[in-house]
Amino acid sequence: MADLHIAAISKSFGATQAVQGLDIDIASGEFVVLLGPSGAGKTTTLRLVAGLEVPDAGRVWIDGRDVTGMAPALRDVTFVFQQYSLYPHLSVYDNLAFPLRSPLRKLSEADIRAKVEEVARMLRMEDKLHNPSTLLSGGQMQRVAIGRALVRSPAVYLMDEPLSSLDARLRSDLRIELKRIQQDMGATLLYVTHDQVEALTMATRIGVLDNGRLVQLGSPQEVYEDPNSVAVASRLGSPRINLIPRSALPQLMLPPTVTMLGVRAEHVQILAQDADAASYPSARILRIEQLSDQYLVHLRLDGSEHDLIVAAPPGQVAEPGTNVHLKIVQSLWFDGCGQRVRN
Amino acid sequence: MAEIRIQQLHKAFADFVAVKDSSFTVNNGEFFCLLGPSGCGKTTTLRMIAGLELPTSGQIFLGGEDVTTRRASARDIAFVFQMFALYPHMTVRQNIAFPLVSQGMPRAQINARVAEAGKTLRIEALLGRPVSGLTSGDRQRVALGRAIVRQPLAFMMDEPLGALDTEFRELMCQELRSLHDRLGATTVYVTHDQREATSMADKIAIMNQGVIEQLGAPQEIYERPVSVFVADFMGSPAMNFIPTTTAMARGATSLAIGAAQAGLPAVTDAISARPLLYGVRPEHIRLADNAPLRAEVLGVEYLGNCQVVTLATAAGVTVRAKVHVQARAKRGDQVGLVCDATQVTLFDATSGRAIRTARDDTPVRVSASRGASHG
Repeated sequence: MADLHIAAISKSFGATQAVQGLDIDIASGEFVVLLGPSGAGKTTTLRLVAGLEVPDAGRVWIDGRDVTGMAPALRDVTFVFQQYSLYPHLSVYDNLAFPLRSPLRKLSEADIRAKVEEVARMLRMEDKLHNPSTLLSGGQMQRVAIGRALVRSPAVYLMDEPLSSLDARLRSDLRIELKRIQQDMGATLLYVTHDQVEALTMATRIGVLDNGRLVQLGSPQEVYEDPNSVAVASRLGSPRINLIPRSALPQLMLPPTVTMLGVRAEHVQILAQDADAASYPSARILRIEQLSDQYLVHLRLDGSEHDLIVAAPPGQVAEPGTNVHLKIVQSLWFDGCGQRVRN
Repeated sequence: MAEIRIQQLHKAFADFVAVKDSSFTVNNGEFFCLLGPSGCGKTTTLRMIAGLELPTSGQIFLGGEDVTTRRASARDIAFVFQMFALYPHMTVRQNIAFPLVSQGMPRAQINARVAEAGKTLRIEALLGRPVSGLTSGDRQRVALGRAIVRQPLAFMMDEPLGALDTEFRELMCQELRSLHDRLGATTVYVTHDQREATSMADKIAIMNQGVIEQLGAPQEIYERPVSVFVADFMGSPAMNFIPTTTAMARGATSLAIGAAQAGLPAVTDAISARPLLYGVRPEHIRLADNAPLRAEVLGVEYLGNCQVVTLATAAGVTVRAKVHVQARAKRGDQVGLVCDATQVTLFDATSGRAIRTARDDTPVRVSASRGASHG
């Protein structure tokens, strides 16, 4: 395994700046997830690292080597795409063995067998090795596709939304498996997704991309709890963070530069209307979304048109139409440009 | 607006029975969800209600009238599909007005209706725009506009959000439900996504192999599943099922899982020795150092407002626990599991049916009304 160093890399396509001056240092054995909406530059960054695109400026270093001008095949990286592409006429075993049989590597069949069996064990697919690949389920196919990347033990793994074509349950199983395999192999992994759950659950560090720029890089906890901007705060967490203009909460004492509050659903308490609660902002319950293990209470702040969503434990919520007070336990402050104001 | 009553509805395609003798009633103004995996018969049921498919037997009543054999166009139902096809060469206004124009409605009335639909959907500003340049959300709104402008007796929706990405789907769920709260129109909604169903529906019918396995309010189905299928389908991460084989005396409040005892609500009747499944939801499991039910941590997933810990018990059963973000667990840790005994459901492993316990005698905590006043 190796470290990966991306220095001031930029790429544009015609008038579109896909990636602008991106810097990331990824240590050996790290699992870094690039998170962003479509068009943020995630896939382009990955392709620049793989050598599938040539940067306009900047450099890529893998394991201390400058690979910027190098052909993809010489970079010692593997790429897993969203759409798994297996050789349909080959068995699982032969699909996994395929990259090892490349004329560039002179491995004996015994070495290949050992390697394939090791990876199959890791993927928990030992009993499927001799199945034709066409008889596998979607999840199994994607596991084989990931396995094919793993057998090679390259310096760096690059993955572009490898789980997004799978159904929800399979995705959640494979998340855990992928993280386990990555840890066991000590693999360096750069992973691209627009799914915040994948980023939070798997990453050692998350890089949030917005319009081709890296706007924050940090551990999942840092990025979720201590975002730099409105863009980052609203990219992570479900339900989405409530963004409330300061004017809707005149009772709060805030620094003058603050124009917007970000309040997560789990950071508000709903209080009954009584004298003790009177100093807190008041709101009316619009409706209650009874999700499986929690209620999401939709409220409208009095004297404004602003709605917010508050998480509450089941069974402890008043009916829609009730007037209540809101105690904001924790909030994030933002200025007029959407940047964080720290207290 | 109208009530929809389905009686003994049955549909077979050659040897394949898609829907088996299902009966249910969708109350006037209700948001009713048909939920289940692909092939369970939910779309076929919807298509029969809409008149796009004729039942093999059974009856369909719309607003008290038997419409079983009536043509789709004579049923006064609006259908919203997953792939909303808009006319690309027309403006938003022309697209929404289309169903009324083809009915031959007078122009003034059409204009009034379209304006009203635009207002309800908050797309008044887009009415003059061509649909080709719209975002996917706005296209979806226009498709809805085309359905509501007719002011039908009921709406049929077949996975209208299926093609959208997760984040946007959440947003559209909010919008659809609040639209429903404003219109108060009887709606039958088909989906395979349990989260969509729980977040919008007043009532859910969960289907499996052509049969309605359970029908009730979302919280009722979540808390009192009648079968392993229902319990497993509702909730994410899914319910944990820990197998064990034992007999239980009437009123027993614990059972053996390996060397440990695990609590549950008192079983109503004695049961002979048989394979059982101890069903416990991830949010009802706590990690405790000294608890006798032992497990090894396989992985920890941080989600911001909680963590999901995946574990393997000594017997190799995978268990997921949803715990506080502050809880400390890391891969390889040996921990004990404590299940909230009051929230456990016990299943007969062979039949897959839930076994009656004291929990079934207490009411489900369902909020009386889900939405703000209708209309």
